[in-house]
Amino acid sequence: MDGTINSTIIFESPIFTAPVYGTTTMGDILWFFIILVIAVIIAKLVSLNLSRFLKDRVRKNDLNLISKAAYWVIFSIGFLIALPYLEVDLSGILVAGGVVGIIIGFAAQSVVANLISGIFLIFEQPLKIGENVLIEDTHIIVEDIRIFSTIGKTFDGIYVRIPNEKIFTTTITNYVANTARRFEYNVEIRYQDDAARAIKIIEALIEEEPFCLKNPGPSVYVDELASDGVIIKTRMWAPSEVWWDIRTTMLWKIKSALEADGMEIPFPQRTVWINPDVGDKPQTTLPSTHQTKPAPQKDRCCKPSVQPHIGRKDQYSTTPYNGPDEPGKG
Amino acid sequence: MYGRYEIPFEYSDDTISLSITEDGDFFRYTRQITDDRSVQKTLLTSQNAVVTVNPIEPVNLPKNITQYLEIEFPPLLIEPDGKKVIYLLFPIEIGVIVFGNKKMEAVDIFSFCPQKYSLYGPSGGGVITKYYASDIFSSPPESDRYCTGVLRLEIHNKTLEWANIGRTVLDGYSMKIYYGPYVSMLAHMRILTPTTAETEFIRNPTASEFQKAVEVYHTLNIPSINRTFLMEWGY
Repeated sequence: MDGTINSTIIFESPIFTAPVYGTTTMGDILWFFIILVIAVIIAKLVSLNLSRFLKDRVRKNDLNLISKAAYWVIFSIGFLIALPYLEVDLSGILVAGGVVGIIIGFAAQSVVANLISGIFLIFEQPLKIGENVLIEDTHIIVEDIRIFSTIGKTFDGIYVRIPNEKIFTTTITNYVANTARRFEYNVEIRYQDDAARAIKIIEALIEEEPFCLKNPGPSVYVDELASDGVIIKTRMWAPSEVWWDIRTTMLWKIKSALEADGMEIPFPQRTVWINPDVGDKPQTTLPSTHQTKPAPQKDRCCKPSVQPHIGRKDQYSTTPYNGPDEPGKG
Repeated sequence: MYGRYEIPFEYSDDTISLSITEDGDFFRYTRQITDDRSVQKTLLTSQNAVVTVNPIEPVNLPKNITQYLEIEFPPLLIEPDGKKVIYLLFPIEIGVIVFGNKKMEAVDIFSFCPQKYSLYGPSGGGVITKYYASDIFSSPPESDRYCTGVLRLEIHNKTLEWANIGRTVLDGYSMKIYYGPYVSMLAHMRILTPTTAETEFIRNPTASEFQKAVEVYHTLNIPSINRTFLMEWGY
């Protein structure tokens, strides 16, 4: 033996092999407790590491709940593994447990679904506290992510609680998850205004604004020759953190700068011709037939010129009129 | 203007006047820049407080939304394993920092330099940077010490290919700014791969006459560990 003790011999000794209760031996009891101790150690380790990992991700209350749940689940598994050593027939327990499990499963289906979704949300992190998100049709600022639900506040300051299952299974639009975001305006100017100059003015304004990002750069271009004027598409990027502030201030700055340069935002306008006898000839129906000097463009734009109705009702048509500055008119 | 003052104090030149004056039990801080409205703040402190006015990390204005400074310059090519020094200009922000009971606080931060932000990297995952466009100089250029400083950038191309460089991104948390005849910073830029580079500040002044500026951004000062920034989205 040279001083060492063979553990096999110890477990095969009469003390451990002799039955103490039914066919249960002292060795079985020893194994039962060894498995329990191992289960406790594993449960503690998992619980501790889970707590450390989730420390900055979930609230303290939820953290306790998760770590305790993990502990008891692992301990229960160890206990069930150890029970057969005490000659306990698990088949009865499993059948009963199965029935109880089905009942509890049906009863607590949504609770469990929310719990599981909450755990996945914590790991996946599609949203964080303080972020501005759209969950289905609800626009909220996230205030708390709990284990069963997520708490938010609408922009009106209204408290909103959304079950985690709903968040997990629906589309989430996170407006600030990315570092920067783009926004755009449609700036409309009159046809007689210089679009190239307007673009330069807008680009200069964007360059002056610190929060309109240098890279990715802005994009300003004529996008559409619309019925009332030329539409200049203005796209720019801003840091997500200040996006809304810039979005709400830049449009008025652009409008003011264009107006300071003599450009105007055109109003909707429509010229109606009513000329049943002569035919649809603009020369005889446009405002130029007035004997008085044409009014300035801005006055005309506001008020559609309407000719008095003469003749049949069904013989009139509409066409856009671009004001007195239109070549060959006025 | 740069330097250390015991309160109350007054400083004035052609462009700016700064003062901390005693007003009963209070101290009134006033900053007046020519043709601009004045900024006033009230300090509740003892007469033992000390004020330092110096250039600080230029990432605070107009709003503290980033810690990174990006300097874009005309593209340059550097040979494989090449090591060259270039000089760039960077924007300056001036901090009025008060010290009381061994703690410091920036009372006021202002700048004479235009501000601009940019995005380094993709919109998802990239970083917002304070942006400045500079020319390249082979020696320290003339600079307005209230508006721009001089960055001595040592570029080391560690790759086996020529590298085309057009910008550098620096982390404000490790900036070491010195002031003397002009404001200066020293930094390394190591080209690691065709798309990545690493930047790091050097803790030495350009010359002995330069004085170290008080930093607003702090990290643990462990001498053996230098904080670097990995430019992983190109240079």
